[in-house]
Amino acid sequence: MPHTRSLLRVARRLAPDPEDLVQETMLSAWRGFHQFHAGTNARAWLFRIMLNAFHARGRKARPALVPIAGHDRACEPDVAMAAEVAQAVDDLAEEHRTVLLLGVVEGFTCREIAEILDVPIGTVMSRLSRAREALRIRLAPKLMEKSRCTTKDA
Amino acid sequence: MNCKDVLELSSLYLSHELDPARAAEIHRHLESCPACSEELEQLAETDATVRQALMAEPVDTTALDGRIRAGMARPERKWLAIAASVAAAAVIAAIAVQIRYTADRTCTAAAWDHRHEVMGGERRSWLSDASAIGELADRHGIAAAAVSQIAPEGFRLERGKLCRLGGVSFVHLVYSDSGERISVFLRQRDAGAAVGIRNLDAAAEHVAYFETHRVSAIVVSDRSTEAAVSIARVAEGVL
Repeated sequence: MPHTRSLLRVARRLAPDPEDLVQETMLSAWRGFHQFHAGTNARAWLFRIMLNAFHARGRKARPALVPIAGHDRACEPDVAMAAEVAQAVDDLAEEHRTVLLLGVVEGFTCREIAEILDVPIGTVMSRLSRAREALRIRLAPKLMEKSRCTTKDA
Repeated sequence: MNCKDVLELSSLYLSHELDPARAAEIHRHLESCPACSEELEQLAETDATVRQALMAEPVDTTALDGRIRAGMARPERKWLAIAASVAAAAVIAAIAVQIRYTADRTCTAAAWDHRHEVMGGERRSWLSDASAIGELADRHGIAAAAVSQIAPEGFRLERGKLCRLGGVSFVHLVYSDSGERISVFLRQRDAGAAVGIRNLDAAAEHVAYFETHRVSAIVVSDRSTEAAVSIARVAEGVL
């Protein structure tokens, strides 16, 4: 089904019940399809519905995910790095995590994110900058480590 | 432009949203400022790392998709009962759609037929009996009942015939109210991904085109793009 993967990928990093949230989103979209305006971005419209539903639920925190990196895989560069990145993203404040997931992972522009979240574009820009900066600082040593692991494996 | 300005605009820069003049200013600054240049490079690299890591995580939506389909097939209102699961698939496809202005040979041919054969009164042999039109549709893989169900509000089925557009056969249906006529062209299609609605304006006509898993359909109206699209939406729900 179009867009459910995308919605679920973001929901998993925000909500305690990501599948329920995506299901609710798709069903409200289907019931409110007459409200969809021709010529607008359907994907952004779905994310807007999802984030409204998420906020309406009172933003319950999602449970922490268990890191997937096992002992014998710790220096498998892609696995270790992915777990580290996921953890770093999960540790961001929710507002920063949301814009980062929409902008960096899902590829929405700042303007689109502003419409999805119904906030001024300046707010999106500053949240995105802070999220990026936090990740840059946290992941910089890991990026160097990644190349060291690669060398060792080779 | 100074370092602070560059960092403030970094989000728009990285998402390619800056106007060319601003982007050029940033480029000029980066050429002369190694610190900003390195910072933006690291931010872009971080973006790529994050994207790669999170996109690589497996996302299995099989069960979820099944639950959503089941929810959509559960009718909430009487008319929705008609739609059932095929309509669910069609509407999902339509959700996926961004309506675009696209020149399309088949749609242009449909607009031409509407102008000359329907509005211009060119001589063609038409069926005017509703049950005969229903049978014609049925022979071409379109449910006879759908022919009346897709009639736009206030319109009735006036006539129908088989026609060829872009080398393939369509059932051409004409619906009318007191002053206006709308053409709907339908064709059975093989199973495959549905592509949803798009529309274009061909000369004076407004055309909306959509495909479901079951049919290809073209709606031609003289009124407006919005009218053509809204009729197409209703038809899509039925078909």
